[in-house]
Amino acid sequence: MTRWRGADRWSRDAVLYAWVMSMTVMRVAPVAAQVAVAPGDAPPVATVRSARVPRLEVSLLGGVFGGGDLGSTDANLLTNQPVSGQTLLFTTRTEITAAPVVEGRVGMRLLRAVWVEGGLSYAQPELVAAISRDSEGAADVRASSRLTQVVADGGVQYRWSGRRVAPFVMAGGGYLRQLDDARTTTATGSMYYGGGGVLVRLAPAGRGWIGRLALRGDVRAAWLRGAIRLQDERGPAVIATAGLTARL
Amino acid sequence: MMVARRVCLIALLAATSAVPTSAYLKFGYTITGQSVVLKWPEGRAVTYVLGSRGGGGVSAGEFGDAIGRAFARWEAVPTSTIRFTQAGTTTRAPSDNDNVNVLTFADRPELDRTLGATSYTVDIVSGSLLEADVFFNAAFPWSVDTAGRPGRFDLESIATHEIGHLVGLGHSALGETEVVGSGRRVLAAGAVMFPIAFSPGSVGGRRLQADDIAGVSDIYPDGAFRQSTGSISGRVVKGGVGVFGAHVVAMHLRSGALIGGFTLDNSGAFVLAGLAPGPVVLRVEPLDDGDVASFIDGPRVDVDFRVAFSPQAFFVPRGGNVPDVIIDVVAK
Repeated sequence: MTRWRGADRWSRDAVLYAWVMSMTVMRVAPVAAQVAVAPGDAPPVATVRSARVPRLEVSLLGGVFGGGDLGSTDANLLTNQPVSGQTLLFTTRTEITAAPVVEGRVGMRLLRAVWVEGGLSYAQPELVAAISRDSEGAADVRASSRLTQVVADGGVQYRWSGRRVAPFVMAGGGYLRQLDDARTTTATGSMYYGGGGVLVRLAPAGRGWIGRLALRGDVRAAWLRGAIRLQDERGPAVIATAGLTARL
Repeated sequence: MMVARRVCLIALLAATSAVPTSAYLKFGYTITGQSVVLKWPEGRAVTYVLGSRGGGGVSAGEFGDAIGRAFARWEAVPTSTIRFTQAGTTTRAPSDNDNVNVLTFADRPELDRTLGATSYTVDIVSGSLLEADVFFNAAFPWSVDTAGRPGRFDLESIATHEIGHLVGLGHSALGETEVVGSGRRVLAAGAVMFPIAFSPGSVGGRRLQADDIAGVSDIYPDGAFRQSTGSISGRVVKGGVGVFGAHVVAMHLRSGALIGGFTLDNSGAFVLAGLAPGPVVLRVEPLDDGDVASFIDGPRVDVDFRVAFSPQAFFVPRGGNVPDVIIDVVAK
């Protein structure tokens, strides 16, 4: 611990970083940590204050899964003519509708500004096929089926710390599972996302439990692969959530 | 003791006995109250003999080549195990109960609307096919040209249709027609097994479509077919009462593939099998695009309802079934 005595030569950030890293060692290897804080070897004041910097946080979020267009498909018959052509029987345009989403996320601070996060989200969007232009005049129909969609993901977050407001950017990916209304089909795939958001502390740190709470809002562009799809490639869906984050 | 009975089927105006639990239309036979799918015994190729004469402007050699290509097309379905073997030629006319499957030209000028026909001999104990004979009406002008020939019917297209009957398929209702004089003209078709042929000059009937492929694969499935496809079952009702003879079509939202079937009992029950997994929508229409008897026997077929779609989309499970689907239709 002799290096801590030389802390006055370091930048404040460097001290904080060193302390966070030592805290990590404490959690992972308690025996080593006891040695690190042995009596008579107390850290400087600045580093004691930094010990309050939280390392874990839990977020409960609600918001909207934005859905997306899955494209159009025609039902065609082969035309009776010497050169083959196609006759439209009817056409469909399919989409996944926007739906409420609830999400729980757990974050862990790895570096001064870098957090890793894991999340679990749940939504029930609808797959809707708008059927039209029937050749025999059938009424247009919106045929739908409700999906149950669960995503388990992991990602990385880079956060700019301020006194009360901490903007961040995030990116990650995870496992996507969709179950249809009749519970006969379970389709799995993956989801990748990128986006950003902001954390706003409800009170300055050190104000008891309220100092550990923050409002969080974020917006992500999510690319769904596999699972229930019409084309191999499809555009991103927007996911917007907001909620409360508790720092532990 | 094997008892054989002849079941006569005329391809373009077919009289059929249908199996209630099937997609498309598989020929069936009722044995002790149970419907049995007509099919060739498993494990061996179906052997056929070609007529040695030409007809309708096609030579014997051209006839054999065209028939060979049509058989090859059905054999090429990757999810079906049906196989064929040619066993030479014959000068004999097709004959029942001789255990020889003959495909040949025949002079049948009295059948002025029949391009070809398939007849069966069936073991009425087991339902197995014992024999099938096909004739092509030499009274019509035929062509085997690669791109077809104006004014002549494409032999390969009609042979592909007749061989569909030979393997046990009935007629598909995937098509649209218009009334012309006292008959009907096909406008478009979604299956080789549609009962009305394309016009002279067209070769569109050579290509098997999704409904044909699902049908032959359902009768002669390879090891993976049942596990790799799924089905939808349910009822078509009008005012709460089952509709007999409704044509139900599943359209796959990913590929656009169309696979049809029929409600074949008084409860309006249907089963669409051989569907690719994934999202589908269902369309129901009356059998009003052809002579009803060319699809299903019996006077009970209800054509008094409007074309309709199910308001639900469905996800066909791989190797499973979506049960209890109810589709309401209303009278015209």
